[in-house]
Amino acid sequence: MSDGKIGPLLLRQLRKLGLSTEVAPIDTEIWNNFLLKIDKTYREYDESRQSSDNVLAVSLKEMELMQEERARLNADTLKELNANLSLVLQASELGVWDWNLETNNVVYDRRWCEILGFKPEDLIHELTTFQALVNPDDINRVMNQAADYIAGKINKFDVKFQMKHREGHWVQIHAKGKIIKFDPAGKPLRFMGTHSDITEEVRIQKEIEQQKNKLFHQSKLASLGEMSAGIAHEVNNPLAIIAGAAELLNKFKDHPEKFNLKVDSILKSTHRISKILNGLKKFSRSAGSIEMKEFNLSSIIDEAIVLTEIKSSRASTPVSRDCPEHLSLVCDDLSLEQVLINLINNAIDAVKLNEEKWVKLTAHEAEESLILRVFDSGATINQELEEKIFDPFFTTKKVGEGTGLGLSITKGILDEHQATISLNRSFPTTCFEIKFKKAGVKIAT
Amino acid sequence: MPLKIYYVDDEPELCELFEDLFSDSGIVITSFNDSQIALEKITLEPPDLLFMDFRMPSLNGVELAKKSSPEIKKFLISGENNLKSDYPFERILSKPLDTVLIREIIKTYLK
Repeated sequence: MSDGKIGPLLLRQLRKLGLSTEVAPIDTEIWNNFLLKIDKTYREYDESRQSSDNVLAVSLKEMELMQEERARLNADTLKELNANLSLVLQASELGVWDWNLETNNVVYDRRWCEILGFKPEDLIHELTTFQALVNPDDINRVMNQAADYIAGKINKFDVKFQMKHREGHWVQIHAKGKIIKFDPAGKPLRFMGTHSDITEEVRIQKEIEQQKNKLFHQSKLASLGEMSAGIAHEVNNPLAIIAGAAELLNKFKDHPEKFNLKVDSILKSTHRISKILNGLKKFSRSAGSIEMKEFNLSSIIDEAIVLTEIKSSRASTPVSRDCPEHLSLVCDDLSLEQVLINLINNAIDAVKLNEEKWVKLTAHEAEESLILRVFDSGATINQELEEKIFDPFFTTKKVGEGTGLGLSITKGILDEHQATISLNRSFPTTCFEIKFKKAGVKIAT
Repeated sequence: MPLKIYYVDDEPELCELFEDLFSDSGIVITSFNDSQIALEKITLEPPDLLFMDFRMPSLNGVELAKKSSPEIKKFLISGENNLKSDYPFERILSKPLDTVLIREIIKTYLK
């Protein structure tokens, strides 16, 4: 019997036993049949062994496949997650950019491009594309911040700027970013971040700003209105003096003393009119143009007193000041004047029904600040009111008498001057106290 | 009896001017720059004609008119344009004063 017919397992077994398929220890035919039977068993065994090996192999393969599948699934999940994320990003208007710092290739995602009216395939995914689309007025500021961040000089990349939309208009962008990959030496390799379209936000903010300016202007107009009721009268009085005196000049031409008196009163009245008109002209200057400069405080106070003279004299409430002449302050003179006019007007109204009526403004230097106080003869404002008086539209005056904007506007202006206003209760009468930071205060030498 | 005229205006200079401008034979002008004091005087010694400013502290022109005897001929002088009043003034005059017009008015009451 040739070896070829017998399987290798049996052959090995036979060799172990010192037998050969060639040399039959018994009758050759019986031996051969016997060998074939055993061989069959061996083969069956081997087959089953083989198949079990196969099972193992298959399972290994399967595991590999499964792993691959799982990876693929994971990838799909990731993809799905990414898709979701991009949906989320899209909903929150976020575009993603991914900047390879070595090549300056930047991948701009779909949303990034969409914000500017493009598709990803419309754009060259390089840094220059971004640079070309940013408003030239902003580009240096943006690239400097990026450079500083990449260089590690600052720990945040967070910047707002304008980019040109495909259709030509400007889109307001808020960009944030983070370095997400460094080489082993710590050199930044990949810089990734988001763009959000804040055009609407900026527009709303602008609207709020405009609204604020409008309120400010309105309150100015309200004070102006309050004054102008008296202004016609106030201008017409000196005019009446001028007209009358001029007529009397002729009558008194032979009485030099009386003649000169009339000339004097004409000049004085003319001066009075121009003072009122100048004050008004300055006062009605358009809102929103705040200009910080160094001004003499006592002259601002004087100006405010002059502009409220009509009201104070009518209300028989003298307004005085006690302020060293040398104090000066970095401020917007007209805004501060507006603040003082508001406070003086309020003070005059507050003491309207009091027996003792006066308003007094004082200013002095303290250690860290300059303190300006507006006193009036009225009793201290109660705590409950104090909480509300700086709210817009809060007023204790009758309808039509006050806009309720005075003090909230006052506070707004003072905020811009980094000054605070509060009620100082350590005095027997009402005292509004304005505190300016010393940095804004300069003492003339 | 001379014609007795009171002029009330919180502006002392205008009071003086009124006297200077319209004093004449047969006319006695007294001016007041405080409407409260004027009211006391009006009650004690009522004038024939009463000229008064509208805008004044304490009592304004209309309030003063209402508190004064209805016998007195009253003229309101106002710096405001288009001032309307529910009090029946003889006339509402505007500032600056039209001296010619006021002289004519005064003349009509001179007997």
